[in-house]
Amino acid sequence: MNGIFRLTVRYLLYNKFKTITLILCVTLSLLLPVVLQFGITQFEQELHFRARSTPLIAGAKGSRFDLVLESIYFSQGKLESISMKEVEFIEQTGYALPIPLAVRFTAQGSQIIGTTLDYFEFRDLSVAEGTSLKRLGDCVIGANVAEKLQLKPGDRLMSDPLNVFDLSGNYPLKMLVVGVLEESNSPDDDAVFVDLKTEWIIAGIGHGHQKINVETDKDLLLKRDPQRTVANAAVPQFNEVTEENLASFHFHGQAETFPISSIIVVPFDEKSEVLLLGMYDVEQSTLQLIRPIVIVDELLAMVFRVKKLFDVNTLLVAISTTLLLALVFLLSLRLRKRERQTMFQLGCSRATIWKLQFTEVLFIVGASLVLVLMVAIVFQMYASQVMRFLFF
Amino acid sequence: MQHIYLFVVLFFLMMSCACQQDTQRENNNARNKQTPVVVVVNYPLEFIVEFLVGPEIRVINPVPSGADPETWLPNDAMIQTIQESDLIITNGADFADWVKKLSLPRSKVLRTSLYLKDSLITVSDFEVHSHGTKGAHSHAGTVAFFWLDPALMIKQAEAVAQKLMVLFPQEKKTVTVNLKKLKDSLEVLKQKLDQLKTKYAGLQWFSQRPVYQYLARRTDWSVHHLHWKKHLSPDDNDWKKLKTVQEEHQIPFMLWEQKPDEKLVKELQQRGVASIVFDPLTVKPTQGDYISEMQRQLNQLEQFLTQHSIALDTSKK
Repeated sequence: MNGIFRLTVRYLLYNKFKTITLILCVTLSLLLPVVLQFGITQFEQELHFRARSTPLIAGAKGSRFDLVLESIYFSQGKLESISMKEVEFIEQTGYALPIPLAVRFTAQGSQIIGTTLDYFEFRDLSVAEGTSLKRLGDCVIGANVAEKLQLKPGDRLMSDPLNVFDLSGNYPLKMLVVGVLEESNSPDDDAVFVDLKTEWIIAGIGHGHQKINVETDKDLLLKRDPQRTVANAAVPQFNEVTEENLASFHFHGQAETFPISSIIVVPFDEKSEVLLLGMYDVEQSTLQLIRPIVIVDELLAMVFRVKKLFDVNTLLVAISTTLLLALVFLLSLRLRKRERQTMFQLGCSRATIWKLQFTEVLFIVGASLVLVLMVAIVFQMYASQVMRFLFF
Repeated sequence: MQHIYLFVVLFFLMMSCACQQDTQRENNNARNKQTPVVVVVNYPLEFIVEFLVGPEIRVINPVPSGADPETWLPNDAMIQTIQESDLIITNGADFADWVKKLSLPRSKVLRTSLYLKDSLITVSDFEVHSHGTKGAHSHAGTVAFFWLDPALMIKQAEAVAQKLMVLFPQEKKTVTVNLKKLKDSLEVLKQKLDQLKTKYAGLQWFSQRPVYQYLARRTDWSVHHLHWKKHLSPDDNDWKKLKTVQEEHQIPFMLWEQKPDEKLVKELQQRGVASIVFDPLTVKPTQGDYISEMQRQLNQLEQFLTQHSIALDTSKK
């Protein structure tokens, strides 16, 4: 048997190009269904886990998928805003804890999530380094953001302007990184969390600037009379919140009118959940209240329908690859007819010659399987990130 | 074989250490959790909570003595204490800057103003200012000094009691009994104000800034706000405004939150405006408590009105 192995290995090594081509052919035909299966399983698990841990989501009427994906995965679906009034309404019903989310801005490409401290408790997120959010201008970053941007507590992180050509638009805010979250293998790892009020400052609803009073420079004033001092647009606004200027930050308008993207609604019990769903399940309601798990199941049903097409495709590819391989081997056998005759004349039995051919096939298939396994292991390790990168 | 024994012993040692650490941690947590903490934003709320609960609940008014509870901002250590507390009772209506500038767990915050929604007084030109590209605008504001009307303070107390009973069910009995006592005490203040309302109907006075609206509404009195800056002497324009209002309404006196400068008192006296201090009690009084201090101040106000024959003047009008 040793002789058969040695001869096969020597033959395969001698015909490197042919061997590599065959191994790659088999590997690629096996890899597609395996990776697809892994990917879909990962996708299903991720979606289900996050959706199951989020009882209800409220948002503006419109795409249910966008609402769920933006609230759970922080994808930028550009949801229509709702106001804080809705949060207060849910709070006052006494049926649930509303956790507002504002998902509109980014900081160096990472999504900024404006929320309240309740979110961290709800998702069971703990701070690995530094502290939680304390005051306006603070941010807590996910583990991946910290690694990608090389940030640690005490560093500053600038929010991205929505439109660089809009000079009257929102001002980027230089946020203070106060904490880094422990890795949770969830979209929270890729997010930058700020207090809702900080998000409103980024949006330009609130800001801080120097005191405007009788002592203010005349160049900065539009009007000065005994009752009021009115400044002009030249008054510089602070682009970061410090201990010195914190007191000057203020908001324009009533907080209940300020915008948010959606609300995670955590009912206190089953009865409250049903009552809440009933309250919003009327035509007059401007909001939709949905169970994310239902939406995720719908989404997965669509994915599985698409997967069926992939399965048929995979089957056809597998048949064609097998036929191709069979052809390659048959041609190879024909080419090696003289080689076999020589071996037979040297005293090799027909069975040994067939064993040699069979071992060759085994080596190629075996090497392909090892390759597929290695790629699958690597894919499984990074499947979560890959799926999030591809789909969210 | 020896290796196996060694491994088993080590395993049990490690397990017992881990268990000990867990127990210690649990004990520490239990100790910390033994005394529930309630944080409040001003003295009237501190008074309400302390009146309602027993010593089993710790009430923290984080504002240090001498600091203004409306503008005070806490340091990092205090922020942590506030965030880790069991309940944060805020006044609402933008009272206390720190509530607007800190990250607070919404689930732990009780805004008492929500329970008084129908009774709130809003002022359209609370603060006028302008900057940026949007031109001048006024900030509509809600007057935050609810506790100056005992009826509203009762509503605040009821809201606080309700929340306390939900959070600390073991305190239910104490809270129920104390709430009744508190309501009785506040009823006395209400009656006193009703007496003053009857005796001094249609009274008008000046105040330095918008503070006493709820007190005025309770008694059907009118208050004219001068918007004089704290710690700053009034300028010519301020006096001019006072003169205009004085000529129009013949206002006999001015209420001050704190004792004013003697010189200022004399100047006002010359213009026919007497001065009296009426502390809105946003901070703890040096003597007594909210009820006793309010009673004392109302008696003092009554005496002042009698001495200055204001009752007679108003009745003439």
